[in-house]
Amino acid sequence: MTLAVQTLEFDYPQRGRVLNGVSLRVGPGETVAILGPNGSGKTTLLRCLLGIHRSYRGTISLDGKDLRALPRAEVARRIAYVPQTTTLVFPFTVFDVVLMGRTPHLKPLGTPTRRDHELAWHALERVGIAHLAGRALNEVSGGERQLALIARALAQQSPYLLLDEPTANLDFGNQARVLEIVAGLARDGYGVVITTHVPDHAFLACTHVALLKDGQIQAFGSPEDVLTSARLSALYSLPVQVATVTLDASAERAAKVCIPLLGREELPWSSRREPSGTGER
Amino acid sequence: MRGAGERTRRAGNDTRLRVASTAVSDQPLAHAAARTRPQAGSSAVPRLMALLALLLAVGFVSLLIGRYPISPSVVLGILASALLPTTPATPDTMTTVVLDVRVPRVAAGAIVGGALAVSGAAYQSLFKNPLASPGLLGVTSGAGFGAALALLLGLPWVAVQTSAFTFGLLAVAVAYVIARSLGNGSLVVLILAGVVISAFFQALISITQYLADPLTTLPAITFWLMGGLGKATTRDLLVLVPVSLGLLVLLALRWRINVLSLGDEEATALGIDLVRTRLVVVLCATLMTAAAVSLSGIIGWVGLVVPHLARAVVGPNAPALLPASFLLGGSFLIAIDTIARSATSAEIPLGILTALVGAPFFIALLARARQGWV
Repeated sequence: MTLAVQTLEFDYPQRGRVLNGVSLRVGPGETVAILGPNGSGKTTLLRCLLGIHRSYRGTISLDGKDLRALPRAEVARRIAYVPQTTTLVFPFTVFDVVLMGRTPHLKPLGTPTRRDHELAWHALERVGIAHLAGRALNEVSGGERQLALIARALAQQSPYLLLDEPTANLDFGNQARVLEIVAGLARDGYGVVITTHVPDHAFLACTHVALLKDGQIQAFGSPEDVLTSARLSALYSLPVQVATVTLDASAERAAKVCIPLLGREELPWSSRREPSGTGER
Repeated sequence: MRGAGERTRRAGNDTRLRVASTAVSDQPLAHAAARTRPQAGSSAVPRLMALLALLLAVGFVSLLIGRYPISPSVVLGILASALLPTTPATPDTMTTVVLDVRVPRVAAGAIVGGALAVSGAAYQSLFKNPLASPGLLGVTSGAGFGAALALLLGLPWVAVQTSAFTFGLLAVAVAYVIARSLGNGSLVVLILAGVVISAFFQALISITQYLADPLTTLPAITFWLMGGLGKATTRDLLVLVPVSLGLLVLLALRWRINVLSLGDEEATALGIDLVRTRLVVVLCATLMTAAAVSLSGIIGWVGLVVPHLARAVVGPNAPALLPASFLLGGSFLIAIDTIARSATSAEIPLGILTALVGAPFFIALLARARQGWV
């Protein structure tokens, strides 16, 4: 039971090679963060996984079956997608949008049944926004909208979830709430892929992290192993310090944080010429 | 998004954040929500019944009004005698006026108005654009040229209608093929192809008008392009066949049409085959519009304005929006047509009145749109 990507290559007609030999895998209960600078191919990778881009080379296999060989509805029953945000032209309610998550389970010409309504309600309750069900999606806050989109993916009942920068438009508190839900989903057995621009989020909520640069995976493994000062500095071409912060006096509880070093030339590890992670621990 | 999350936040004994809703903390929330659940789906049925009643009422009132005003009881008697042969017959002239003139005209108004409104509603969802109308991909311009050409050649009325229908379908087919061969499935390319094809057929219409005899053919072409139901006969109700076909398929696809309005990426992620679904929706909307226009000539605004009105009544969900659009479109066009044939001694072309009524109506809708439902 895995979503496995092997030596994936993808070209855009004008831009040329965007993904170049990408391999990674996600199993149940795992959360893979994909970190990479703008233009590194994160979105393209997600679009390949969703079956939107189908002209890739290499293989994407879903529980052992080739993605392109599966009918679209079958792919949707296995992979759910949470976009960064969504803007609707028409005033659909939060409940309407969550109910649309049931689409791949409907009969070809059917509409949602009572059971589909129940599942949509459970999904809304799961992310804690059942009280917003009747509000127009375009009128709720950005954080609430993100939760509604996550609820739609849950209503879809797909074992794999792809989240495209789910925290990008959110304030500090809502970012934490969304990460909390993402981590909880992995504990419930979902396989989660999340793209993010914040390395700290990988420490907070992910079991694995993949570093993507210029269409290639630079490193893949646990956040502890992969996220070093040296790797992050190279990834973002900027000196980055990974530091350990103790959360109480006895230092039993600790968290790792990633700090970009801005113009602190006086510090020994901040040399822009040698961003070589001397500060790790 | 607070609630349950806040309650469990402190329960964690390490720095890892707990997920908002565990099974236990969810219980009270679930029950609270169960009490306040709106009955999604079923709430539209009474409103649709009310719209059906409105259509029947408008249709009945329209049977009473005209150059020979007829009382409701007489009209009821005529309708009853037509349906039940045992009932005694009423005077001949009135029977002829009601059954042979007004009933076909009212039925044509319901079919044409309904078809245009449903096509417009489907296009607005498909193109994710509240300004989309049935003529977007060129069907009305194509039909206009087809009719003008047949009139120019002096063909009989049946040939004019057939030519309008055929050229309407042809115009959209050309636009679709151009978009498929040039674009990568992009909706913008399809819209642009439709705009180009519309402009092309408009030019062809102008050529026919330029060549037409200014005393006989030119007025006929001009009247056709302004639309009207004055020539509707019982035989014209044959357009019910393509209109019903398109309507039934669109109704069968009602949930998919809904999901299309989420946008390409999300609809694909929900398992929708975009290319195939779009093709079927375009085909059905074109079939309905071409059939309607072949009966009535070009009637603008109904397909643009009525879906917005329907959305205000039943909301944006296609399973309710499509039937609501049909019923409201029918009521709207029957009402406008009744004014067109009875307000002055000479009949006002229908397309002129729908624009005169539709434009201020649309501005009123835009004013409401600021409150958030468009």
